[in-house]
Amino acid sequence: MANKILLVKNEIKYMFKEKVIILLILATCIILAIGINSLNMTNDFNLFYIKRNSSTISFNSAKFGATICSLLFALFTVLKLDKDKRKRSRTIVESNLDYLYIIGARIFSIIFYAVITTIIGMIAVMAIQKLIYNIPIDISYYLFSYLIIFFPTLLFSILMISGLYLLTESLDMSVITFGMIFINSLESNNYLLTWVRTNLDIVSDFAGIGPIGNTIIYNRLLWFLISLSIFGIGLLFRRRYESGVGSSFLINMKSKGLLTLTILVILGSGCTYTKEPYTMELMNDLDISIDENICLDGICPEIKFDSENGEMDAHVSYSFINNGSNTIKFDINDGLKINSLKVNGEEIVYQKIKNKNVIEVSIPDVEKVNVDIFYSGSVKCDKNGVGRGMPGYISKESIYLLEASNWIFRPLIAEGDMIDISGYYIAPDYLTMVVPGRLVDVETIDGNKKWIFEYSSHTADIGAFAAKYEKAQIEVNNVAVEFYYTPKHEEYVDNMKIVDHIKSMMEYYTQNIGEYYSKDYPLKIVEVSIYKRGGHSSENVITFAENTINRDNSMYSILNKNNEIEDFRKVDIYANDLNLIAHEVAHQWWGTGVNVIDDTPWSCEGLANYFSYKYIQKEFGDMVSSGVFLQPWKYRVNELKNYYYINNDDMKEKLNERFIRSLEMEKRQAELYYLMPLKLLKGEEIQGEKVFLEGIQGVYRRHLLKDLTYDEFLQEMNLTREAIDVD
Amino acid sequence: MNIKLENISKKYKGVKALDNINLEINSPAMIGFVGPNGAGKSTLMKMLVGQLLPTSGSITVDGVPLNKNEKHLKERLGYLPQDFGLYEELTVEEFLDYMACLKGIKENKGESIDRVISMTSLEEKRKFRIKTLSGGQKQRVGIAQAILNNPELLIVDEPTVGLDPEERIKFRNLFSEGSKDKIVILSTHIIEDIESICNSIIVLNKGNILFVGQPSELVKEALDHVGTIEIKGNDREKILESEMKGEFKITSTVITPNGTKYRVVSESLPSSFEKITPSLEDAYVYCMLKGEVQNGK
Repeated sequence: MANKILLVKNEIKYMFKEKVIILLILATCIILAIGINSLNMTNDFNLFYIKRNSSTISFNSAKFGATICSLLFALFTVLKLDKDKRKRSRTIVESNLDYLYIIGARIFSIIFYAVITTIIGMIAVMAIQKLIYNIPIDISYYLFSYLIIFFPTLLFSILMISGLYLLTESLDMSVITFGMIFINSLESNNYLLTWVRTNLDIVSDFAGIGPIGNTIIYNRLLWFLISLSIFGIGLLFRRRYESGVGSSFLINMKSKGLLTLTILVILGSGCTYTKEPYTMELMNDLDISIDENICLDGICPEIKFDSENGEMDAHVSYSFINNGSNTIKFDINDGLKINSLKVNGEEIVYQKIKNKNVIEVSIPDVEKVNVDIFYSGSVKCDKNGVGRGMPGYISKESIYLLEASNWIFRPLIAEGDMIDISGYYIAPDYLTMVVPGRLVDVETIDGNKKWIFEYSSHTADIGAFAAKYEKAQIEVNNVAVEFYYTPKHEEYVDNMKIVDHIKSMMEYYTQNIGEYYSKDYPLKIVEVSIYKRGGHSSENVITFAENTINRDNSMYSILNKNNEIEDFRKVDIYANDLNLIAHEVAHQWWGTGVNVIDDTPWSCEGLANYFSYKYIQKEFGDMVSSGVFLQPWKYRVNELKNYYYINNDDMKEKLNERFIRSLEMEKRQAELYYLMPLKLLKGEEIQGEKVFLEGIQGVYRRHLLKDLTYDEFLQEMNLTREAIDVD
Repeated sequence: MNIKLENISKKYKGVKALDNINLEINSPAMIGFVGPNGAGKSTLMKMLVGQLLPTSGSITVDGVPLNKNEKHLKERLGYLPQDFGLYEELTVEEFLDYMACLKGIKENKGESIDRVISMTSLEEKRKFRIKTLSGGQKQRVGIAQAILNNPELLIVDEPTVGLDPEERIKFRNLFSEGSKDKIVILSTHIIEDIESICNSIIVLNKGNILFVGQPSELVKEALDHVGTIEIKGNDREKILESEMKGEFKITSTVITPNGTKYRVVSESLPSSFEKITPSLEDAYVYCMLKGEVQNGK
């Protein structure tokens, strides 16, 4: 053992003498420093000028650094392992000791330098944060970014390329194979496969690491096992006695310990991948059909959140009107375990449909059916949505649960005209809970608060949002508006006049569309974490991701003392942020107020985009609204014409189903979000703005709390499909 | 130290590189391996240093099978391969320091390095990077690393290639002195090197051992098989024709005032040739010739 330590020390000493390692450490520090600003160098416009703090600086530098330094360390490793081959020194070296010890010593030495590089790099970035940006340091973010993201990436690179080199005994082959694994990681949306820089775009300032911490650590565990497996395989195929790959394998196999360990880590990797506990494939359930013979009449969710452990305990009562069905299917969340299920008060056995997150419950042939489901556990999110599009999570600092996560099991039946929803959420008292509908009462029980609510809705979409919120309350045309945001972003909210804009949006929509749909329910506008990008609107609650109100202080220069736009350099980002809120607020008119029946390109998205565009045009003028919205919309619509497979349906057969689905989704999105508002603008151009908006006001009035089809809209607006064709 | 090879054979893709070799070496010994290119010398040496496995047969070192205790051998081994490279970015001293660590030299490491630097006359170059050294100097560095741990078994493959005559003599003596208490195996094409220092010679050809014994014994075997003849004018063609037929092998051709004087080795020397005392080189050629005759060529 002492000899082996001596060997490692010797390698460390001579690697240092070669000076390449010093260059590598220096290069890493420079790359990490560049990485601080990496968000502004990407194509992700929505993350430009995010406010700098410990989480963004440490994470961005570590993520950017991991991407480049993993390649540099991989290259360094393979060159070190190939050194004796290139220099024809292997025979001399090997005559002194088993060459495996040399390989081991070199790999350990490189890992040692990876540790040193990580520490030096981290200190360098902390120094930049403190001395140049004068931002206080939160060491926990640095430890997370550098010990969980940066260093493991280097470690995986070193182990994987070592394994590949031992397996192929070729510098070229091992680098090419490693490159393929590397690129696959960068391109994948599956968080399990993104070992280089993880699936995260940014660490949430709002929610912290909590909601994604487990998934990141799990990803690291998986890739530690995978890289060990590759390394183990490499060792098993390590060339011996100038023999070929097969003969060497037979010789190496005699080492029972190595063989057993390699098999164990391979099995461990497989198990870790397949038994992954945090996500599920929510997208699979899109194909499930709706039973029209039974409709939902009411829901009563009684939920207790255990935010400390990220769990919930639920009892949800559903009442249905049955017109001849024998079963009800529920779309469920795989992370929530059903403890008991009762139909009309009697406990029954349900069936889980194979390969789907759906259960089937038998019901009696009676008109009124009540189903009570008791379940508990942690909400799973989509594998491809971790850190970017998480529809649901429960963490210590915040709770974010959208209907899309099926945290309230969704009955796959027709929704009635109006569904009565009432219930309560119990959460720790340090969290402010935002409930849908009307908050009836808040009770304090043993360190928890019970938030009781009720409302009627034409959908069964129920959300739950909680955090340590500040609440701004305003009233616009007798409508109460509650704006919830984290105190961390209060300065930006004040400086950028976000509350004034919300008020202004409400006034603009009231004036140009009509009265807000309800006097009973306040409109709740809620800041949520970046782990669900963009915004969302359901019933009287809209949410938007934190990046919208978490920009750098340099954005303050956009507005002068009179709140007029003075600096146009970053105005497009500001306009885009406000547009997101304006779009979601517009959904309260189109989506909640009027139920717009989808008929692509017709949907509530087109109307919401049209009105948010109109609002931005009013506030920022034609130049900004055209540059930020109109031109990109036209570009995206025109781009569709160049999609070969979209324009050649018969050729689609040659593609795989997943790709076709993704293409169709892209096409549909472009039609809903960009083509339709362009059509509406064409209608406005034909009729003139005043007449067109008056027409829309009439449509809104007539269809308030009712459905609206495309044909009805066109007819009532005196328009035709051909007239508003934008080709 | 005792090294025993029993029925060692090695095949490369069906071609036999070594064929049923049996050999026992005990220290002290200074052994010369000779044979033409492709005879199996390097293959045999690689097996002796544990870098190649035999297809069949066994090698034991001090009674322990080599494949079960390579560590035992490598701790006692010094090896200089025929074709080798060094870490050229290091200085001579750094390289030897690096190698000393690989050899597990902990105590008196500095002294060991000084000793081999002195033995290989590299004092002036000790602080020079290896890439700045000449071919002969690099060869000396190679030899220095091989003797760094004062090995019980020193195997050197063509060690005097690239060295000037003076250096060659020096290293021959170095190996010879070292063989007082250890085994030194020297592979070379230069018979003179063997003649000067080896107390034992092993002649290899086409994977077979043709001769094992003292050089004088090999010379003895060639007695009456080496002769000279001086040819005048057109008779030259005749003698070359005879060599082509395999009747003898010309080992030297000297132009004299009267014509050309040929030195030949033959299984049965024609009466026209004047018999002379064979040199070790003649004996080697005779051994090879005899081997070919036995193999039916």
